[in-house]
Amino acid sequence: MTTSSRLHRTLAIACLALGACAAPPHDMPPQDTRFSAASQDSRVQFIVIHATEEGFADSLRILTEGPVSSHYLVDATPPTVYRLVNEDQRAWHAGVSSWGQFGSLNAASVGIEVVNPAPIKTATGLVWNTPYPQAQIDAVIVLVRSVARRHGVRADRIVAHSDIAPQRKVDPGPRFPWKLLADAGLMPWPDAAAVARQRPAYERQLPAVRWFQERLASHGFAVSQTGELDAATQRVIAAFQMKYRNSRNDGQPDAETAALLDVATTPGGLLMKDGTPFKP
Amino acid sequence: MRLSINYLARLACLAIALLLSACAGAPAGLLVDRSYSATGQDSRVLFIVLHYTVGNFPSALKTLTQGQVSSHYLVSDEPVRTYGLVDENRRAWHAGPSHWKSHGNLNASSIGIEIVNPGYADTPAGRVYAPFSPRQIDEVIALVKEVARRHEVRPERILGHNDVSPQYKQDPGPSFPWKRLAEEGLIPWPDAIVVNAKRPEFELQLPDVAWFQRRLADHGFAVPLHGELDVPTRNVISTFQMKYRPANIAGQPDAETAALLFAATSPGGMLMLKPSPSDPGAKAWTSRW
Repeated sequence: MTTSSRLHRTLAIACLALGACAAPPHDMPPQDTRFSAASQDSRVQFIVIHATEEGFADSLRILTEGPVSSHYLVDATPPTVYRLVNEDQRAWHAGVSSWGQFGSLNAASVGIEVVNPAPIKTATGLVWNTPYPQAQIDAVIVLVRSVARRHGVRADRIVAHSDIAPQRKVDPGPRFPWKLLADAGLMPWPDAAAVARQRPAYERQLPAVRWFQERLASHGFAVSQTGELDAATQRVIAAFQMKYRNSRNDGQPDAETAALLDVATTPGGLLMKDGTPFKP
Repeated sequence: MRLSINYLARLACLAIALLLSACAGAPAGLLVDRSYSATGQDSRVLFIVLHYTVGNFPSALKTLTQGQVSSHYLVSDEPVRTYGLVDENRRAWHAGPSHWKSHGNLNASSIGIEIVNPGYADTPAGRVYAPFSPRQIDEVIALVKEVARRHEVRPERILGHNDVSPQYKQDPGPSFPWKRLAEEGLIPWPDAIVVNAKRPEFELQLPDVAWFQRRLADHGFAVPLHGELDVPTRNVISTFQMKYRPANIAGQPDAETAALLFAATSPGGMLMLKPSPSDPGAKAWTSRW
């Protein structure tokens, strides 16, 4: 190939790349595009964090060849970020899911799969043995920051797969260090001083199950308001604990969980890294 | 000369790299391996939601470009013209609180199309909805067809604003000719044979309110399931009637509505009168279909 034909080909590819980017609607009725709406934003409203519950090779195969996918896959050794789906497209990571008024979150989210093994089933429940290496979490933090900034994702909409599908999913599990994401300024965290103030009252008198259910729903979870400590409610409590109190995620109502939930669902109770209240 | 051509080629390569990264929105300060691509992916656009503006064109344009609401497209009336107000890759704010099946808050997963039409007037003879001109409907059909084709929107996910928000919204109302969209292959339509076969049975014995509620929920509506014919339930029945039986939209259960609802929620009861422009062809995975 001569240099000039290479140049022509390169320029042709450049034009194609531009075209793909703008996606010109070639069969559209002629359109007037002189006006643009002020009220618009990104289709990406959530970032959903998952654990693969598989090794890297199997994770990559499942997420690229199967009926499930994610926008990003973050390996641990070495810490590497793989982009599997363009952010403009929908990946199939969340499944049946809801958060607040949002349902079926795939279309409204960027999914990030973090390589980490599945929990082990024991007689007393699931056990998560493998911590997330710091370097892998560092990569997740840089990635989440970039996605959140570019799409303007609200800090309280960086969620776990277990948050949006608590009846089916436990990933990324209690070993995922959400607090480090809060410390990096990515998401809000319950005001520790307020939690400490609330806790003694809850030590004396634990709220009714109905109170937990109402507060969990106002936090964003899909939870039936049965007033009963049924298995479904325990799974939602466990999902809340995995994020904010990961030393024990047994799904049982307790004073610390009540204090965290109280503060998390009270206006001004969630703080950003600099100590300012989180504002939606 | 040769050198300068090489230089140009390099510049072109650099331009491609920049374009590609701008296109993909590359995370800054992070090395991202892009050598793999997932089979399981599709468009974020799952729904097309049709609205009427109520206001005339100048006021609709002002509201949709300067107000707290917006839509991807606005189709004017005189003259008929399509205005693109929000890029399809972005979220417009047209649906508000909304539900369809397991989907909630549909703005992020939809394209919103506003059609200039005055809506309704309450008169001594009752509520009267303004007609749409055939020329305007032709434009809407061409637009919907093209959006549906590019995003592979499923025919049953081309909806009215009232379908996804039946307690608050009437638009695009009973004057909007949904049947024409069915005849163009854009949406499915209840099989007339099934409807006609079931109707006499329902004339003899109308199903109870709980049956209507369950079927309306199966169809996709957010509807109470308590068995009472309350105002929210009548609003949903009325919304269903506006699309499939616009002659009477009182929201009362009747045999014809029951027969239509039976067809709409029975396997094989909905027909495509023409092939859909979103025909998926051979797809490895079938999340949308």
